[in-house]
Amino acid sequence: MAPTSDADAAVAALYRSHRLPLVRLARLLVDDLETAEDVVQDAFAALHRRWGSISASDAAIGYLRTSVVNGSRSVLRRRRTVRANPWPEAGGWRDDDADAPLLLAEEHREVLAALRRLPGRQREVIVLRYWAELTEAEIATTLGISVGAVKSTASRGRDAIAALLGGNR
Amino acid sequence: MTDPHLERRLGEAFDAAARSSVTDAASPPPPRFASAPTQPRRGHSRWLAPLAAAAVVAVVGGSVLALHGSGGTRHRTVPPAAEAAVHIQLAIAGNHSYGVGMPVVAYFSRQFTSAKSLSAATSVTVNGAPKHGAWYFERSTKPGYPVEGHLRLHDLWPANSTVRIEVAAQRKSAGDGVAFGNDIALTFRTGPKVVAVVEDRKHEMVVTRDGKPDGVYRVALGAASTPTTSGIKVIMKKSPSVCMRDVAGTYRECGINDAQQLTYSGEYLHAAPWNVVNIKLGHDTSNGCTNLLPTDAATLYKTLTVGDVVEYPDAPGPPMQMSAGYGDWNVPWRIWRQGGLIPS
Repeated sequence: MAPTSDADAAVAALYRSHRLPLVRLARLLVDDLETAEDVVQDAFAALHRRWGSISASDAAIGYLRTSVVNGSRSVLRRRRTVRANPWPEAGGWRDDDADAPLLLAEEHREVLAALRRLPGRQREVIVLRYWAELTEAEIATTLGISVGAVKSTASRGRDAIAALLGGNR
Repeated sequence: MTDPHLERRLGEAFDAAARSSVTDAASPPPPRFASAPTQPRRGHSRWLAPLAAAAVVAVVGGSVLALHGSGGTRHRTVPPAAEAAVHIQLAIAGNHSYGVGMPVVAYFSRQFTSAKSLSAATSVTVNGAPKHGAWYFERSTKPGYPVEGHLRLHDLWPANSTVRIEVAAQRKSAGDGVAFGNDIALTFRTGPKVVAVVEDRKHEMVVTRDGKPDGVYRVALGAASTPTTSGIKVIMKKSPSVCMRDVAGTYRECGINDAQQLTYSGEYLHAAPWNVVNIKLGHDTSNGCTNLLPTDAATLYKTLTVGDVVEYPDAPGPPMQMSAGYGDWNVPWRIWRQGGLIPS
C-alpha cells in the first residue's frame, strides 16, 4: 500500500516524539551511536512503508520498538561474522568508540561493560526491562517470545551481570 | 529471585549511558523515511519541510553526527502545553476482528474530573450508522496512566459489523482547567455473536454462534476453597501455552496449553490433561480456572476469539467485578452511563 499524506503526518509526529527514546534504546543494544541512529531510521522507514496496516499509534510504537530490537540484533549478527571477537574484552566502552560517554561514573561503566558481555537475547531483555521499563508481557510481545521465556532470560541475565560485577576483574 | 539493589543499579547505569551519549539535540536529524522511493521528490516533500528547515546536521560519509554537544541546552520536542493535558492512549489494536463483547479500552495519563466533553466528542458508528456509546471510568494499574476508561453500547456490539470510534477530544475540557491532549480513532470488525454459557450445575459449557448451537463441552470449575467467580466474562487474551501459579505462590506450573484468559487474577479456559477424570465426573477441583479436556480445549482455542463472551450464571464464587477483567457487561447500563469514577 502506498503511503498517504496521512501516513506522512502521522509518522512525522511519531518521529518527533519517539526518535530520541528509540535511539537511546538502540544505543544500549548496539554499541555505537551511528549504528543506533541507522537502526532507528530504518525502523521509521519500515513503519512508513507499512502505515496502512498499522494504524493505532500504540500499535505503531510497539512496531517501532520491535523493529529497533530486531534491527539491532541483525547489526550485531552481521558484526559477529566480520569480527572474530564479537564481544570486546571487558573494561568499559571501546576506546575507539567516538561517542563513548566520557563522563560516565565508574560504577556505571562496570554495569555497561557487563551488559556488553551478555548473550544477545539476555541483553535485550535486560535493557527492555530496566531501561525501557517494559512489563514482562510487553517484552514478550516485543521479542515474540513467551512471558515465561522473558522471566527466565531476565533471571539468567541478572545472575550473569551480578557474577561479572562481583567477580575478579 | 531478584535483587533490588542490582535492579536499581542497572536502571541508573542505563539511564546515565543513554543520556550521556545521546543528548536531546535541539535539531534532530531529518527522518530518512522522507526520502524513501515512494516519495516523489527527495527532500522536497511537503510534510518534511518544517523538520528539514529546523535541522542543522553535519552529514559525513552518510552518517549523522549532530547528536552530541548540544551544550546542555535541552530542547523539548513536545510543546509544554501538552504536559498539562490528559493524554489518551488506546489499549486495543485497530483493524482487528473481535468478539461482540470486546470493550474499547483507553488509558488516561492523569486524573481528571469531568468526562462530559469527552462523551460529547465521542462518536460511535456501526456499519456507518450512529450508535449511542458511553464511557465508564475506573482506576488503572498501568504506570503513568492513573485512569482507565471503557466505551461500550447498551448491548453487545452487533455481530459481523464494522465499528468506527472517533473521539475528537483534543483541547476539550477535562474539568478544573485541564484539557485532553489528543484525539483517538479506532476501527475494528466484529465476528459472529459467540456466547459460551458455563453451567456449573451441569458441568457443561454450551456454545452458540449467531444463535445456533456450536458445541457442548465438559468442564470442571474451581474447588470449594477457590471457587470460580460468577457473572459475565470476556476472553481477554489467547496463549498457546502459559505458566500459572496460585495466589499464595505455593505452586507454579508451566506448559498449560490452549489457554484463554478471562480475568486479570488468572481465570482461564484451558486444557487440563491431568484432570481428565474429574472433568468427566464433574468434580470441581481447579484453582478457579475452567478445566477442559485437551481435545475440547484445542477446539475452543481455534473457534473462540478475543472479545467472545463467556457467562457463568451459577458459579459459586463472588460476582465478577468490572475491574477483574473485561467485566463490563456486569455493570447495569443505568450505572454505566453515570461514568463510574469520573462523571460523564
